[in-house]
Amino acid sequence: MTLSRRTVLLAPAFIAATSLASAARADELESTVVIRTTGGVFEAALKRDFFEPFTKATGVRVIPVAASAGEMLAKSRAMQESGRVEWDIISPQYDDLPNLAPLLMDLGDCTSIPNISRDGVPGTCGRWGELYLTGAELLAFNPQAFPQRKPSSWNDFYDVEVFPGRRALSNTGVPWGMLIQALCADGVPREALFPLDLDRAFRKLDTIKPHISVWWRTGDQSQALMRSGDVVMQTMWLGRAYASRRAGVPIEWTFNQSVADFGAWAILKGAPHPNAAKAFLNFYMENPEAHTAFAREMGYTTSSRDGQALLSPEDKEGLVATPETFAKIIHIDPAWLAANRAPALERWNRWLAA
Amino acid sequence: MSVTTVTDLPAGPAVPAAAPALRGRLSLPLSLLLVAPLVLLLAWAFFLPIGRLLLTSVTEPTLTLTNYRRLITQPLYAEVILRTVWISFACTAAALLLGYPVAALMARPGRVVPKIAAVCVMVPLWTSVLVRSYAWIILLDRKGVINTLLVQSGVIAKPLTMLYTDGAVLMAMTHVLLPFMILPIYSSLRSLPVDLPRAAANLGAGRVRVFFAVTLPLSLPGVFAGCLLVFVMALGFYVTPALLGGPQTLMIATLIGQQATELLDWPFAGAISCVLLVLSLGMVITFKRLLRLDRVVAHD
Repeated sequence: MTLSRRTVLLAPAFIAATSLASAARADELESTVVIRTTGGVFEAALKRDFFEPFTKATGVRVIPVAASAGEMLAKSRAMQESGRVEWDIISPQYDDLPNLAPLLMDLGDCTSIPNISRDGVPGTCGRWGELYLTGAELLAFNPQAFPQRKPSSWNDFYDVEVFPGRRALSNTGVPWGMLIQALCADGVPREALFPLDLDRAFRKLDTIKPHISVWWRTGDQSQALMRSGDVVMQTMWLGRAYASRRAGVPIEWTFNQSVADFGAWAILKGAPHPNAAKAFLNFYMENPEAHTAFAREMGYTTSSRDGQALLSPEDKEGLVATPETFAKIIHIDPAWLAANRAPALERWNRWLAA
Repeated sequence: MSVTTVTDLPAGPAVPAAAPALRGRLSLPLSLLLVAPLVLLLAWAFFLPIGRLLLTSVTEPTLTLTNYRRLITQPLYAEVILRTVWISFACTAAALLLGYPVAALMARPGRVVPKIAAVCVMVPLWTSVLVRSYAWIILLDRKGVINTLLVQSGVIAKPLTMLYTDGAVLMAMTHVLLPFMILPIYSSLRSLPVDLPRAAANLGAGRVRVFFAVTLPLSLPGVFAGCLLVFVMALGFYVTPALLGGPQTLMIATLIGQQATELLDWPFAGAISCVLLVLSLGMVITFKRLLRLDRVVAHD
């Protein structure tokens, strides 16, 4: 095919016409939507419970892209800086949403996503994102190691006399939960936690450091430590603790002084398929049964009120599914995090490597 | 004399005699034309983005040296850089001690033994670093292969803590980088004229004397090349320390990753990268100097 002079001259007119046409149908759904996931079993469950039903209902094809939390943020920022945004929806920490606002579409009070007010738990609308997943970083222990008295808070974790045994904390480059837990164990009431008193937190951490046998690096490793009986108690993500219990490992956990591990769906500013993305956020809150199935498999409850209500009493107690549990969970102060992230992490790195 | 012997040898990976044969046969414009695609690719896909990242370390938010000041004033970075250099150095030394005998074995005349040795060196090289690092987890874990064997055979009563220590990282890094030590040494041993050790032996030198007076000095270019490769690669190692390291095994690449993905502070990540780059280049230049010195000694 040769390009005639006529075609070349007509091309701009054609482009103008099509862009006019698309402007006229501003709220029409695009044919695809790109969603960041963490890959693996998590992505498989999301596909089965949400992505495929969404495609069935709307015809919009979901393209999942696996990326670690760090890759997600770095790539989102790089895409925005280069002006070529290729993803629509990312899933950052819910408590970090205000700090990521420059990257994200402002949903305001979420009126454009009506299902949130219909079925969302309180706080589902996070202005720059929709709460999607509710987990916690908590104290998990092997009940067989404590036949008399079970540990019930971080105070007990720090008490090596009454609760002897090998312990683990995490070394994932995200120490906020452990700083908060150390302050809790030192007797700081939860209302007075922020701004975090780092001197006090590290003094308390100093006392437990010699007793930490393993600093786990991945959630999978934390599960292996419980499975092999290598440690008797440790900090753990709820989803991992729940998966261990499902696999028959002797494990219990407490939500006392636990720290929120809440995930959000957030739409990137300049997303290529904004309408489909919003439609997905709305569809996400559509079907409570899907949420129950997802929670039972993954150990993460979701933001669906009705979905939580459908859980068994045992699951309700073990997961983040009741107002009482929600009230126990400590949230990090986003403003403190934004102002102190770098120096606090520097200090943590140094403390850990010393 | 040496030229005729070299051509009698089977071709090794880098037979020096082949180079002069090709040199001067291609015209300069043709040579430039041939390297142009690679140069363009590297310039566009490698040097440009890296240059931009490094540039942000002095230009963001404004023209400033703040990032470098932070590197100097915060003791964490000097400590981690020192530790990285130390681990890389230990890794290089271990790879040299373990790798030289293997290279010597591979360079021996004969068919079967050198072939088997070569396969043992090459196959791990084609396996992903991630897989090899995970393999170490299976071996070193408290409930892993080694501990289980030792406990069951009654050698030890309680399992040893081997995983998540500096030793584990050192061992795994040495394992991963070993082929990069072995291959250059093998190459220089292979191009060593067999007449020379034979002549030395003929003149009454014992096996030890032959090795230290003839074989070792002539293989030094390979040794230096291997050491340089291993050391520079070890400086930037990321996956293995991240998987097998304990809290003390914090290496510089981990800090760069943390700044780039956790804190999104790219200018500062650029500053740390710049230090790493300067460190690596410094090593290359130092080693090159050493190498030249060695050539002078060997040929004059």
